[in-house]
Amino acid sequence: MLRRDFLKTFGATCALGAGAPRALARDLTGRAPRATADRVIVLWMAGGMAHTETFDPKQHTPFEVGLDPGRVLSTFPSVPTAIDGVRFSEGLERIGRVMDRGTVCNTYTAGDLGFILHSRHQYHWHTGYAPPQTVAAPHIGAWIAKTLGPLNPDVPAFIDIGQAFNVGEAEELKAFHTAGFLGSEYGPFLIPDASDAASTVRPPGGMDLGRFQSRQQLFERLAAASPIGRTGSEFQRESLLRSMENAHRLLSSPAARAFDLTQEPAGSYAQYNTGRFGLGCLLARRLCEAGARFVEVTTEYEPFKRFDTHEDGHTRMRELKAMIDAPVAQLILDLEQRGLLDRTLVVLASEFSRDMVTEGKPGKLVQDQVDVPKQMTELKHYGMHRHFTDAGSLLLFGAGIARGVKYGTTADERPCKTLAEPVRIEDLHATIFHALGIPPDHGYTTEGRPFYVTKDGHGKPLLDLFV
Amino acid sequence: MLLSAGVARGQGATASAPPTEPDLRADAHTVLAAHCAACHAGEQRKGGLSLDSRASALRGGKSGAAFVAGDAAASRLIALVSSDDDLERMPPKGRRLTVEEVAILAAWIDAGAPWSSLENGSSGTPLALQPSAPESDASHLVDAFLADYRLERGLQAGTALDDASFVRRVHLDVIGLLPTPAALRHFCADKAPGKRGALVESLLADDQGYAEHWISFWNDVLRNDFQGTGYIDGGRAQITGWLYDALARNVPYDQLVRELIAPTDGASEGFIKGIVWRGDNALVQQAPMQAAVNVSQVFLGVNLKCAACHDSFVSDWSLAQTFALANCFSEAPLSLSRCETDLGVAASYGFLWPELGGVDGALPRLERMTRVAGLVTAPDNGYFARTIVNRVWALLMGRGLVEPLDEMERAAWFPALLDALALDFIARGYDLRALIRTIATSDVYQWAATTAPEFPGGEFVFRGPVARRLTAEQFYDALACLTGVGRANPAFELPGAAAPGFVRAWRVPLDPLSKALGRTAREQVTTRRESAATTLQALELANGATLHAALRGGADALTASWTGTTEELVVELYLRGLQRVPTPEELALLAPRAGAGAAPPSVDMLQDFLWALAMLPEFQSMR
Repeated sequence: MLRRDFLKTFGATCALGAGAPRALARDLTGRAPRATADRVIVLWMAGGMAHTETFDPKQHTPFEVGLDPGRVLSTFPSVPTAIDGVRFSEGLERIGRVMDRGTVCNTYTAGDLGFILHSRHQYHWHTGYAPPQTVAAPHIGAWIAKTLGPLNPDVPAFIDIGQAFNVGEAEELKAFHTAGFLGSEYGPFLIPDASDAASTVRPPGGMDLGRFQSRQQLFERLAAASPIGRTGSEFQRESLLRSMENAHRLLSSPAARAFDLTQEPAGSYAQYNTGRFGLGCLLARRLCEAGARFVEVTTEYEPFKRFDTHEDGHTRMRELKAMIDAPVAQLILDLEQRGLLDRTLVVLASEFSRDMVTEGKPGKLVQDQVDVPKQMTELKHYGMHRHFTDAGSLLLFGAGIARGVKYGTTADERPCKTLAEPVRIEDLHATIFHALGIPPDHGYTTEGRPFYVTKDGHGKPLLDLFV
Repeated sequence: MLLSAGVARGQGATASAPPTEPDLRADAHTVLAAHCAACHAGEQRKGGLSLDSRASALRGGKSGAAFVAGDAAASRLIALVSSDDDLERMPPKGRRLTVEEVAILAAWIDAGAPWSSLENGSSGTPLALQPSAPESDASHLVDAFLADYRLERGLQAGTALDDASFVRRVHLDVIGLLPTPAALRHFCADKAPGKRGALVESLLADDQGYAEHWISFWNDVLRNDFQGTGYIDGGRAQITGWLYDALARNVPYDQLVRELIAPTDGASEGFIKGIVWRGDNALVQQAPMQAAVNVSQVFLGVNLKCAACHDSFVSDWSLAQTFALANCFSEAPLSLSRCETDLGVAASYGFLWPELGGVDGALPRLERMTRVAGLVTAPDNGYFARTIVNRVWALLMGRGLVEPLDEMERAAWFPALLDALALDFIARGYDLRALIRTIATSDVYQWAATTAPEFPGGEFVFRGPVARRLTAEQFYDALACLTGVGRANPAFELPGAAAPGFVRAWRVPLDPLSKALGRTAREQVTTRRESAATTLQALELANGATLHAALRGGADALTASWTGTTEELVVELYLRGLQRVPTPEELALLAPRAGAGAAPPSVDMLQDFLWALAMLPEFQSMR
C-alpha cells in the first residue's frame, strides 16, 4: 500500500469524519478575487491604542495643574508625515516617513460589547465573532492556514509572536489563540519571546544535536522492529511515524535558522531592538523571508500594561511610541528592500481606541472603569485612560494597498468619533481575505452548519483601500 | 519544520484536509443554505416556495414541487440552478452554483432527498424506544443482535483479541491505565473460562480508577475545567468535586442528569450556569440559551445551535421551540429574537417534544427546570438513553452506532441494537458501569481492531471496534505507569480515602502537551476529541519542555530505584508499556552491552529510551 493511502485511511479514522470540518462545496479558484498578497503580518497594539495619541492627532493641550480633562484631545503635538496634510502624533516620525508606502485609517469602529473587557474585544477582532460562542471560532490566522496552507512547508503557516499566557485574562486570551473547530493542526505556533524563538526549534532541555539524532534513530529502529507493524494497525504506525519525521525534519531544517535572531547582522538587529516587540518585528520579517503565511506580532496584552493605560497615559505613550516607531518603519523598509512588500499585507491594529472622557461609544452608557478627576492635579492624570470604541487607528501596507492615502474621517472635536467610512471588523477581515484571494463567504461546515471566514459570510472587502 | 510535509496544500485547501465521512444530506443542505435560504426559508418564501422542511419543499411553490425525490432529472430545482436563462435561473442574482454544487444537489435528490430527521420516516429515529428480540440465540445481548446484523449482510465475525491485548484494552477503557506486569501475568496464567468477565467486573469495582478515568469524558461534555474563560468575573462555576463524587459512587445516570439540569445545591450548578463574559451579550449567548443548547446536545444528541438564532435550515428545530426551552431556564420571560433582532413576541415555555408534556411558565424557575429535567430523563423519551448509550459505545468501539454523535435524529446503522442497549440500560437502573460492562463483555468488543470505518456504497458497515489512540490523559498516565512518576501540582485534591499512587493527568490543568494531544480547553461542549496526528503535536512530543521534563523525572526515578540488569529493565519496561516482552531484535537494540558486568545505562540513555518507547505507535494506540 502506498504511503499516501495509509495517510488517507488514518485521516478518516482519526478524525472520524463525522464532526470534522468540511469545506463548503465551492470552487474557490473559479470566483476568488485575484490574490495580491501571499502572506499577512498583523502588528497588534494590545490593550487599546488611542488614535488621538498616535495616528490621528487632534488639538494638542499641554499639561498644567487644574486642567479640565474635557479640554484635552491629544497630549502630544503633531508632526508631518510623508502624506501631504496628514500628521501623526509626535514620536511616530519614522512610521510617518514610510506612509508613502501605505494607508492610514482612523475609522476602525469596534463592536458594541458593553462593559469593556479587553480580551473580549480582542477575541472579536481576531475571530470576527464575539464570545461566548457555541462553536469554537477560529483565529483569522487559522482560517488562512486552513484555506491556503503554508507557503513553505518547513515553516508553520500561522505564527504568533510575543504573547505569554501566564498573565491576567490568560484564559480569555487562550480562547481566541486557537484554530477552533478547524482543528489544532491549523492553530498558532506560539513564540512568546522573539529573542528565545530559536529554542522552539531546537532539541529540548539543552540536548545536543548528536544525542537528538541518535534518539531519533533509536526510535526509528524500534518502530521498525515492533511486531505490531505487521498486525492490524499499520495506518496509525504510518501516520505517527510521518508526523514524527516531519517534526524531526523541522528541527534540522534550514528554515529553522530563520528563528534564530543571533543570525541577524548586528546593525540590523539594533535597528529593531526596542525590546520584545521590536525583536518580534525582526523575527516576523525573517520568518516571512523563510516562507511564513501569517504572522502576528503583539506588543503583548497584560491588564493595565503597555497600551492598556489606565493612568499616566501621556508618559507611557511616549515610551510606547518609542517601542513601535523604529521597528514598524524598519519592517516596511526591509520588506520593500527584499521585494516582499508587494505581496505582503501588513496591518497594524488594536482592539479599540482610548479617550480621556468617553467610555465606550458616545451616547451609550457603559460602566466607567477609570475615575477621571474634574481637574488634573498630577501628571499621571494626563492621558487617555478610558476605552473608546467609536474610532480607532489602522495602518495598512503592501499587497496593492493604496500608497500615501488617508482613508475615512473622524471628528476634530470630542467625541473624536468616526464621521465617514467606518471600518467594521467583518469588513476589515474581508479586506484581508480579499488580498489573499479568499472570498468573504468562503467557509467550512461544522456540525452540519456553514461557518464562514467573515460573520455569516457578509463581510465586504473595502476595495477603496486598494490601488 | 513541516506542517504538512509532502502534502502540498493548494488553493481550496481540501487537498490535505482529513477525508470526511460521506454525508450527502449535509452537503446538500449546505448548498441550499448558502444559495437558497435567503429567499426560501423562514419568513421568506418567494414564489410561494419554502425550503423549511422536506414537506414544504415537496409541496413547492407557484410553479410546483421543488424536486421529485429519487429523480434529479425530473426535478425543477436542478433545472433552475443549472439554467442559462436569465429569466428563470436560480439564484436570480449573484453567483451561480458551481458544477460541483449542482452535482451534489442532483446526487442528493437521486438518493431520495433525505431531510433532517423527524418528519422523514426513512432516516429518522422515533421518540420512543422500540423493543425487539434478536433472531440469534447468542447469549450476550450485543452479540445476539450483531449476529443478526452480520447474517443480514453476509459479514464474517472478527478475530478475537489475545489475552494481553485484551487486558491492555479493558484497563485503558475502564480505568484509563495500563495494566501492571503483575496483573498481566496473573491474567494470562489464569485458566478460568470466565476470566475476562471477571476482569471487567473487578476493574469496574475500582471506584477511584473508574472515576479518575471517566471524569475526563464528563468534563469534556459538561465543559467543566479548573480554568477557562468566565471565572475571572464569577461568570462560571466548577463542578469537579460533585462530579468526581457522583462517578465514584456510580450515581444513576438519570439522577446525575437531573442534578445537573435542576441543581438543588451549588455543587452541580456549573453546567447549567454556562459561561458568562463581562459586557453585553446577545440573547443567543446568554445563560438560558446556553442551557437549552447544551442540555439538548449533551443529553439528547440534538443540535439546537442553529435554531437558537433562526429556524434551523439543517434540522427541523425551530426558533420558537428553542426559545421555549431556553425560557424554562430564564429568570425573566424571554422575547423571541431572530439573528439578534428582537421580534417583539413573547417566547412560550415548553420541551422539545410536546407529546411528552409541557412546562408551566407560571412556575418558579427552579420548578420549571425540575420539570425540564423530568422530561429529559423520562423513560418515554428514547433520545435520553439512546444518546448516552451511543456515546459510551463510541468511546469503547471507536465509532458510534449513530454518527455524528450529536445528531441522534439520524438512523443508527443497526437501530435494533441501539434500542435494545438503551432499554437494557434503563432496566438496569441507568447504571453507567453496567452499560460499560454490557459492551465490554461482548465478543465483539474483544475483537481485534479494524483500521478504519468502512463505507462500501456510501453506507457504514460495522466490522468491529476501530483502532483508537490514547487520549492525552491516557498517554500521560501511561508514562507514569512506565516510570512510576506522575504529574505534579494537582488542581484537585482527591477526597479522603484515595488510594496511594501517582497524580493522574486529569487533575492537572491543560498544558501544551495535553493540548497538542487533543485535550480541549472546554470552552465549548466537546463530545469527541480530535485524535489525528499532526506535526504541531509531533513537535511538542519531539522537543516540548513538558514531555522532556516528565521523562527526565521518570528516568531519574528509575535510575535510583532499579537494581536489576539493563536487560531486565528493558523487559520490565516493555511489559509495563506494551504488555509484551521485547523480541531478541528489540533487546539487541536497547541492551547491546547488557551482558554481565556491563555498566547500567546513564540517565540520558534511559530518558531517550523512554522517549522512543513512548513515541511508538504501539504504545500510543489501543489495539
